Amino acid sequence: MEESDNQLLDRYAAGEEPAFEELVRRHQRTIYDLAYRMLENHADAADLAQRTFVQAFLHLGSFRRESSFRTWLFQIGLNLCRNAIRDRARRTHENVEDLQLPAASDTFKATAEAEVRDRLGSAIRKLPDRQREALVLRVYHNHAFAEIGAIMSCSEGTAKANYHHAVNKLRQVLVGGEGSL
Amino acid sequence: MTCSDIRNMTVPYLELDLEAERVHQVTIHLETCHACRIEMESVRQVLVKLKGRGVPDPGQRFWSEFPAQVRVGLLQARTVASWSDPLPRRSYGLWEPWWSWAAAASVIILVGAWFLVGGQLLGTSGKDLSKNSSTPKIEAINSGRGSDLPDLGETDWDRAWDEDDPEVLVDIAARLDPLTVDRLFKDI
Repeated sequence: MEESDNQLLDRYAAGEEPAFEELVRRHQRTIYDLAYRMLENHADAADLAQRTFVQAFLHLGSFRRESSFRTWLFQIGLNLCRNAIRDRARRTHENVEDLQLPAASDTFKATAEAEVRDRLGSAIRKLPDRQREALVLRVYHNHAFAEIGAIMSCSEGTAKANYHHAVNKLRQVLVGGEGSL
Repeated sequence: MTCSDIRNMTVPYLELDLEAERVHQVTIHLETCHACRIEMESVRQVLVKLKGRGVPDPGQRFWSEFPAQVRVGLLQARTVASWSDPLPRRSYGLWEPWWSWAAAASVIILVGAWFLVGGQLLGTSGKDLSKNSSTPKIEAINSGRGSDLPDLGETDWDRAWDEDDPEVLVDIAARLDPLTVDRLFKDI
């Protein structure tokens, strides 16, 4: 039977290093997925996923286990995403040359270029931050709205409203064209 | 149930996030309302397309090395943290970093205040100072005022302050060069 996250955390706290690796391996893909969907390139997503785990283990003492470890990782990851997006916007504002997306590695270049052309991708990019967050957490990570509220630091109703607004805006784009977003 | 009600329940209906009774009501409505069926289908298409948007897999090597990368990042972060706070926090007592900074600031303020008060005494109570001081002290003060001012060490300051005698002022002025006289007495 697979150990729970809390059991692994207890083992890690007791000095068992393999528990650390098991915890990271267990959640690395979901956190990377979140980061990639928010930041849209591999380099930033990989860096942010790593920093999410570093912050989590660095401040493990403040994790009171009122939520799951996964939810806590999502909270940290989403906060780092918000900071990264804000920093990127500031850099873009300061230097027009930064408008171009960070260079993707050859492996992902084709996919990235295809996504830039994708109308749905463009529409998602234009969503307000909170709506986009709710959409990503719901559609790609199957979180319940109560959990989305916990991750986004808002009520369940607000999370639900953000998600519904996001879906409706995307529907308008696909049905009525880009200008309707 | 109206079409507006149905539109508000489109997403939860498609995500099976409705009570059974509501699902039944929506289903019955959809069977008879063409507009709501189109609306429902368009939302379903959005959800399908959203679900179909994948994230490129960075590869097995990335995943296998990821925990080690996190470990390195964690070590670096802890090293930085230990540089900024090298001693354990709990047993400092009075010498907590906050207190040491406060103590240093207090010392700086006290020293600054001492100089300030001392400067004011020199500027406004020269008479008192001169009574108890000898010529070398006055010379020291004069020498600190800059090389462009003349040496006034020989001046009889007691007489100058007490009597405010014009002759004394004339005597002082006589020892000064014309530029300094102009500068000192231009407002008089």
